[in-house]
Amino acid sequence: MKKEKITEYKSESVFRKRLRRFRSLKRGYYSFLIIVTLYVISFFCPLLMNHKALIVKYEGKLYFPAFKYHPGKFFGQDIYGEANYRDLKGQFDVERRGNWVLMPPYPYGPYETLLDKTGEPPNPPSKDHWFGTDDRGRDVFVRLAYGFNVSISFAICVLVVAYSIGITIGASLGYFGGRFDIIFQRFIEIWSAMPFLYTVMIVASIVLPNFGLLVLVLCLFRWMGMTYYMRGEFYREKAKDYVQAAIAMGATDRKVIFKHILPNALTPVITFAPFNLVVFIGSLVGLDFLGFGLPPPTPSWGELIRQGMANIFSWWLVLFTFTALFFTLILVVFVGEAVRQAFDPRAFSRLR
Amino acid sequence: MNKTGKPVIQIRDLKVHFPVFGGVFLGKVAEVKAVDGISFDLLEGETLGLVGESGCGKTTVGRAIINILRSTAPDVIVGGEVLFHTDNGTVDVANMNKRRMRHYRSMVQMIFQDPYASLNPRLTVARIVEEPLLIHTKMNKAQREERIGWLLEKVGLDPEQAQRYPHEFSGGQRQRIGIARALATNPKVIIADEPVSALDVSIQAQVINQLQDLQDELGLTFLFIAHDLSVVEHISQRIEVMYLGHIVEIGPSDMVYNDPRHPYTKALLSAVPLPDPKGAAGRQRIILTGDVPTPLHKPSGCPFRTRCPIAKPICAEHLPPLEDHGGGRLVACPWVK
Repeated sequence: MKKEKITEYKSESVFRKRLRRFRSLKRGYYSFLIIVTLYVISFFCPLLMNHKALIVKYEGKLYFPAFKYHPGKFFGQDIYGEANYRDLKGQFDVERRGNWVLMPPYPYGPYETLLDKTGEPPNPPSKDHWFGTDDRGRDVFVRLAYGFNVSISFAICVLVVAYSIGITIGASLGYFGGRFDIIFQRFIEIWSAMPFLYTVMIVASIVLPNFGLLVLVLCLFRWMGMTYYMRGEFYREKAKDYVQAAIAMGATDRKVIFKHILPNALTPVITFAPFNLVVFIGSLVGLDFLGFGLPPPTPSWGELIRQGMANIFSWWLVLFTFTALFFTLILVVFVGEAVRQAFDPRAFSRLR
Repeated sequence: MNKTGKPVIQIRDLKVHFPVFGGVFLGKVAEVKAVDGISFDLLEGETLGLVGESGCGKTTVGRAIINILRSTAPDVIVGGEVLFHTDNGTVDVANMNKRRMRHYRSMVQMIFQDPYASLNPRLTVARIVEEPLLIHTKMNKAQREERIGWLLEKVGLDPEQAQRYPHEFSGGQRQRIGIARALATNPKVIIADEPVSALDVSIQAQVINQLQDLQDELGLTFLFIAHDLSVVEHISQRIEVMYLGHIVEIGPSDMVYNDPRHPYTKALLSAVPLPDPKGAAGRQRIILTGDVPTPLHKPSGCPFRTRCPIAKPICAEHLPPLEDHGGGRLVACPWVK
């Protein structure tokens, strides 16, 4: 009878326990769900907000312009370049010849200049353009949505690359120690004294920065932070007996590092990740604001803020961009706070 | 057990010095002489108890034997020889090639003091006990599972608990998991570094009896490191007393325990609480004055002279050698013959 009880009992790993605790912290958990959902949705932006039609039925055949380029002449439009599907839709609706166009729910693209609007751009918010248009007549709402995807993707890329470098170097410093540790630490100290903005300016003046290059430059300056924590964690864990036992039974360095120490040293990595995500999003916005960021016409929040400064009376540029930035960052911070709380060993042991 | 067993491990003039770095350029400014020239044999099938107060170098000796000092102190200076005798000849642990070292690691295992720190909290018990099997044997999964079950049963755990995590076990149970891990590869020698000092007294007895049963059954050789003399007396055939990196007395357990010769051994034994208070009343307590000198600045000559009740000026001149007192006993004091 006692045995049955034992088999019913489900063992839980430390990670599972923390995950369960994270789920119980409602504010952080829901923030996490919201931000992840929004990010996933943002990958489908070209299907949700685009000037290209999803489906066109023309002369009895179906076309999918969102995935394939069709010139305007193809559909009988008297224009050069790609077909204007909004006009086409209006035309087909009037003609009533069995042709039809299915537009995305928000039928404006991120790179599209809407010069047919009345008045000089930027135009204030209207029924068609919820957040108005920017100084080149592009829809702000669409650019914010596309920019959200760019910002988060950029921050995640920087996070992954910078953390990989930082964890690897910090781990080897802590694990191998000795002279290697002392010399490499001095190198890190010198490296961290390099001015970030100057380097970015110099790089931007030589080559036009693109997404990959910016990730690389940012990583060059952001990998050091994690090395300190990993070095400390590895120093501490290495002296513990379970690591000594692994070494005494002849486990290889690689196995000791990856199987034994690393899983026990990941707390700072996971707890810092959301906060660093905030920093990296902020960095990209800052660089774009200064004009050293992603090349135009990439949709970017920093560039919108810059436009907002140049057109100070077009309040919608700054207001909506900052609101989007504010809510994004605060959601990520909520997640970070909950992660930190879930990983706190003291609260954890108390509530165990 | 057979006291005439041939030596499995021979320690010859073992020295372990930890350099202390300091100053602007982090040069070596001093040395902690944790172990300073000790020699002894570990005989096959015996239990050798290694006792001494905290900081005397007991644990360092154990860690030097299983060769894990360099992992925490890359700059440690290890001198002397640790010779390991196998059927295929004798090898020095210091200059082993990789293949030999692998074999040695499967033959000499360690049980750690702290059962809470010695098990990886991320791995289940099965994975912990499985690891040495993965490293040293070519068993397939089913064979390993079977061996894990057998090992857990051997150390008195329920094999059904193999999928649990270490934090779900009590201290004594965790120490048993550590023992199962040490036994996984069928080692010859087990270095037990204070295996019971972190446990409750009632659990201590259980674990020690378990160790003795396992020794009888599997023919193990134990180096039993402890500071608790009553525990050591119970389990060991021979006792070795260390003070500040030196051996001061070594000999058969009953001789050392009932008739200590070295003044330090006498003081140490007089501090052991007796179960019968009436007997304790008649006993002479030797209370040592002062603290243990730091191994950074050891006294010249005999390391014990600063606290020794029978010290003479000549003690400061040179280190007293271990002298044979008959019956397999060696004592490092010229005044007690």
